[in-house]
Amino acid sequence: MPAPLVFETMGTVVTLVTAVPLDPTTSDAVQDAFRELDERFSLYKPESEASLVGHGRVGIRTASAAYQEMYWAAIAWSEATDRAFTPHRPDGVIDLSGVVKARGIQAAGDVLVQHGHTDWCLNAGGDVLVAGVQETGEPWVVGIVDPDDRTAMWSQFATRPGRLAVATSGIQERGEHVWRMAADDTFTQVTVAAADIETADVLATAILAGGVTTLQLVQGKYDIDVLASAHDGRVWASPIFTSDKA
Amino acid sequence: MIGASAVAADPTSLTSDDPSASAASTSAPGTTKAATAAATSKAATTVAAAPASGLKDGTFAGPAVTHQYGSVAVSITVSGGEITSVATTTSVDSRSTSITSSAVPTLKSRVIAAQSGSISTVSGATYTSKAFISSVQSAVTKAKASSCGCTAPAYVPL
Repeated sequence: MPAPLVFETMGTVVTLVTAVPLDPTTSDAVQDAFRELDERFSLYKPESEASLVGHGRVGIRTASAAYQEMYWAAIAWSEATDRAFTPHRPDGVIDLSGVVKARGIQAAGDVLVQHGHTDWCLNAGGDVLVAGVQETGEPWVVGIVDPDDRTAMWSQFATRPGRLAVATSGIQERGEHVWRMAADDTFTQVTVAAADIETADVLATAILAGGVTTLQLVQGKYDIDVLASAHDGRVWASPIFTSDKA
Repeated sequence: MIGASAVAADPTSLTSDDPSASAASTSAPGTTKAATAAATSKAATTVAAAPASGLKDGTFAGPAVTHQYGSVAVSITVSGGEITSVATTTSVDSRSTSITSSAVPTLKSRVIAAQSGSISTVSGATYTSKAFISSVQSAVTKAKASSCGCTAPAYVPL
């Protein structure tokens, strides 16, 4: 298996493993897919459009079509989750990073497909999108970090058609982009597996923020598997994550 | 469960109109992609002291009534003007994943553990790049992941 491509973007690290070696053109295109979004949407770049609009220095209606499209996508997710997911932070800043990162991952995946790659595993800061299988023919297996010990592994998820994306949100993220609804702080970590990374990423964030109410809401609406841990040691798990042994 | 407190279950008169019922189990994860999982539940009942009811003898099936997770249909058997048994057939809509993949409260010990050597990559909450890297590297090391995975190789120092 070729050496993985590792690079920093969007304030995190991306790791990409492909069955077939990446040529330089494809490698550059993958990185550009993230960086184009990061240029526009980073709140850490003071002169990015996201900073200008996010802090109210430029009105949304005068923002670029790309910004508006991302904003309304986030609003749609907010509506779909009864506002457990929201781009509007309590401090008034508009923060689209919950959707932007997923779209970066998807864009990079699209680049890989366009360049003929059928088997790959892409990890951006703990959010994972895969295609195909490992070199051995085995499915890509995503380990899930232990919520009580971030240096240990807790469980795992074997990817398959319809479950190619796995995302995890934890309370450690609060300083970045997860803002809880005051009503429910049940969960400390939520993992969602879905067909696409945007659904997985947004719903993991939403369930962490909205608690059991949001978990039940989104499970009725979306085809997902969930593994969630609570402060008091309780666990919620889809059957795929559990075995019969006690 | 069908029936009020006045009816008593009678296993000997249990009826099933669905030949697939006995093999179905909606609780087994492996069946989640089956076209339709059907189960006929017990609830054969005898109603005591029914008056002349005007009911015809025979077995009568009610319509399948849909609900959030599928449908339920009830059939009754009338003998001598009395309802002698009630059987329910439930179906879980295969398009509804609400039951089959729903996360429900469970014991932490029932969550499958990461298998050494099989991990390709790691999903966890991002804190910072460096924290994530050290976390992933430690996790992979602890899990003794094989060298074929995404996270096994050394990272470029930040």
